[in-house]
Amino acid sequence: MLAIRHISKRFGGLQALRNVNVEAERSRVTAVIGPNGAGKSTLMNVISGFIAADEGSVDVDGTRALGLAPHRMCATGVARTFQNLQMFSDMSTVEAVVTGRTRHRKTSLIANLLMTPAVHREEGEAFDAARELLRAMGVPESFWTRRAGDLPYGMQRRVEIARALATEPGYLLLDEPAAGLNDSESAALGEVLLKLAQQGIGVVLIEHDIELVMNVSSRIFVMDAGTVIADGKPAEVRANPDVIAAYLGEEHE
Amino acid sequence: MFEQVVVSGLTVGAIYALIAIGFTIVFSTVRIVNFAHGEFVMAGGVLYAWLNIVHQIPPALSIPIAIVGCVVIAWLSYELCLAGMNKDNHIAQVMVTLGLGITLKGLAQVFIGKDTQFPPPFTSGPPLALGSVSVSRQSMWIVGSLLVLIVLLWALLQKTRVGKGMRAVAINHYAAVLMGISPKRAAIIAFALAGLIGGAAGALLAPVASAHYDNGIFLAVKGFAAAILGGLGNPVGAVVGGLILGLTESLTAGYVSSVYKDAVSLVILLAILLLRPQGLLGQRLPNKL
Amino acid sequence: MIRDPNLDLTSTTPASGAASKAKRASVSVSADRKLTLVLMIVFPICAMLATNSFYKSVLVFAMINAIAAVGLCLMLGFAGEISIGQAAFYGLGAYVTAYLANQFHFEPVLAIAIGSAVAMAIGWGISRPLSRLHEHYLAMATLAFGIIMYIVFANARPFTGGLDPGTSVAKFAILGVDLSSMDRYFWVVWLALGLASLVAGNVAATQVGRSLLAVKMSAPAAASVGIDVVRAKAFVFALGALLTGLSGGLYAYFSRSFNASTFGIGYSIELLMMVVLGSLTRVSGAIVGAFIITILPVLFEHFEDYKTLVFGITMVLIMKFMPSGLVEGLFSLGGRLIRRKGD
Repeated sequence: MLAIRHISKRFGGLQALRNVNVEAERSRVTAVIGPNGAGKSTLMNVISGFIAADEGSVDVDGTRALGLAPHRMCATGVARTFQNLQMFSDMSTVEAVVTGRTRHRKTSLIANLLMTPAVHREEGEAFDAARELLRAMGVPESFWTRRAGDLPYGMQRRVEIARALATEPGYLLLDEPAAGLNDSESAALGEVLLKLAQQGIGVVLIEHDIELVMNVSSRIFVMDAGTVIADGKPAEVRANPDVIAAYLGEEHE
Repeated sequence: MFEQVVVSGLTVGAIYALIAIGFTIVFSTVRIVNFAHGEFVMAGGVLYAWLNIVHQIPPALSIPIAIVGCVVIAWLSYELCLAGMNKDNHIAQVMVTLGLGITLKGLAQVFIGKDTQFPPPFTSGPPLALGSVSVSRQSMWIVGSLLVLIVLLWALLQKTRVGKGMRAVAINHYAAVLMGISPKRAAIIAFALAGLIGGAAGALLAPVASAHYDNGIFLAVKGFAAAILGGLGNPVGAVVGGLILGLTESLTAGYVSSVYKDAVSLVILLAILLLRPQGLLGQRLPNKL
Repeated sequence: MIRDPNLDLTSTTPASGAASKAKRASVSVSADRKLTLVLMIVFPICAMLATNSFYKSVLVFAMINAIAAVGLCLMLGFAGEISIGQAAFYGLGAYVTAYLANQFHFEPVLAIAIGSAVAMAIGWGISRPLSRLHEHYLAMATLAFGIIMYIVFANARPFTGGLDPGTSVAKFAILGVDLSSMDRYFWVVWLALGLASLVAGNVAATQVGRSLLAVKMSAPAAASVGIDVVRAKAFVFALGALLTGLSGGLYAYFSRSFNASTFGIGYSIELLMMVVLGSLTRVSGAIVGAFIITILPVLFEHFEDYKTLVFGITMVLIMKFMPSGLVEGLFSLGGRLIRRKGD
């Protein structure tokens, strides 16, 4: 389980996160939703190591992981995508995904500088693995040697997920992956997420697309103004008056 | 002796402040670190010297003309090199401004020449005695110009529409655009100011430290050091940083070693970048990884 | 759409059983190596065709600069680390080499090796604290560092001889065998350039180079896939400093006598020009750039007077319109034209 406990973060005068508690299990899709400014992205950045929390803890399958730099969070088995698509635009699509294999490389720096046969072998394996992932994510072969930045937006999103999957994560954090996707693309994404969960990954989804969230999530955490105001199964959350108020605002007498 | 060191430190510091202010205003308005800024300063001195010495134009005319020349140079620099460049490609931005600086230096070398010139002080006459300290007239001009400039700049940024627009762009670029403020106009004004203030600094400095096509980069790093020491983007910081830097240099020259005094500002710059990049008055920079 | 609903999305072991050879997705890397090989053959040919010792020495100097240019290419083109202070490492390499050779009578090769190592260590040391900063702060810091080192070189007379009288070294030799004539020294430098190009080419062709590119293109994404960004930057800085220090050491024995004026900001800018002119991402491009910049003063008599202006305009134009480097840009333009003709 990915256990996020009592996370608080303040930026100057703004309390961005206050005593946030979120749990995500393996083989499940967990969603974090909430109106803009609720702190979802901040939470994402804290979990993945890009922002240091003031208080609280992050446990990955029992191992304490708070305060680790992003590349170390990756080593604990937490992978992520980015809201504003951080793609390695000038690389070929396959190469961009190959970078995801970094965590699993065994060859030393010296071996790489000398380009030993082991390095050649490892490169071959990495490229094969990348191609498999691209195939599985439905990225057509014709795109594989093209410049990653030239791909259509929806494809780049898939490549980013493939890249994250290349790290063989236990938990995959997705930051608004459906942004900019149309209905059928969203539905396809939903299928992918369910498939990933089936294969054992704990998917954590930050999303605005409520329909997608309701369709694939086992558990939903709702955030507003930096705290979790509700958590439970989709049907429970949908009927929760606090959640409705947060999204639509309170009625005033 | 000590008072003399302090006075000369404040004078040098005023020059550094003037260099830093223009640089910092461009950064705060356009988010461009202009590595060519030192050449605007160089141009001020070199043009003044050229007009006065080569063309026999009296200081009262050649100084303003030189400064206007720098404004034009700064404006053209922005229009031809930087306008329309992708803001996010910092590497290209650094390289383009570097190239611009080298171009300006090359232009001075080719069209004006490689001689070191000393144009006359703005007003002639013996140094003034203030207590136990002797203050040259040019020093009075330098410090006086800084004071006048601070007042004018304050008035511009706080009281005029143009100035408020520039501050708005500096605080939130996108919101300013939405409010109808033209970021391009703010950029041009920022560059024009950089040319004006930088050129004035160069002209003020030339009678004291000479005008030479090659001294742009040295002046630039001093200006960078002052601006970053005070907090990049903050004009008050530029003044504070400049004065501190000037005093430190003067004290080093007077009491430690005059050979390494130039190294002092550079070491300060390096130390600030390594230890506290936001400077004295700036905000903590976001951790970029 | 997902093609095979049963396909395992999480397994990354290759579906094909046999381990396949490294299939390079980008053709350009092997083209880069071929071009480097061609250059390494062209240089000796030019040396043999050179009619007098002066032209030979220009060639040797071009190769020395090429080593430093390759180092900067890795730093700037691959990792996006702007350094305007490479002359500091050049000087460190030269002065440490000279000092060890003069004061302690070290074997020249050993002296050069230690000189390079010192430059590398300092490069590594300075990059770690700076790796957290934005590009223009790094540029400024390297600028400041370069000028500080110049001031030290110019004033630390007991160690460097300063600006006057400078320092000088004995002839280059290996275990007593005199290799100092241009004909012989050419091969020493040629070997060094070959090794440098080989290592740089290996960086470009493996995950090392890919990680650097990842850091340049998106440091957050690089970190999210497990790349230690600080360590990557420190590595490329160290390597760049090593190569530049190596150039400095070779330069010491090339010129035999030099003073601090060689190691000012002018050289840092020239190195930048070499990479900008050649290619930011191809080792062979950097070598070509170094060659062009070095021979320009020889080709154009009054070049020195206009050098600054020409350099400046060229840098602005190239960085605005062909930001991967001029030679690189021309190559890809040529490639596109050829492909269109073939349609």
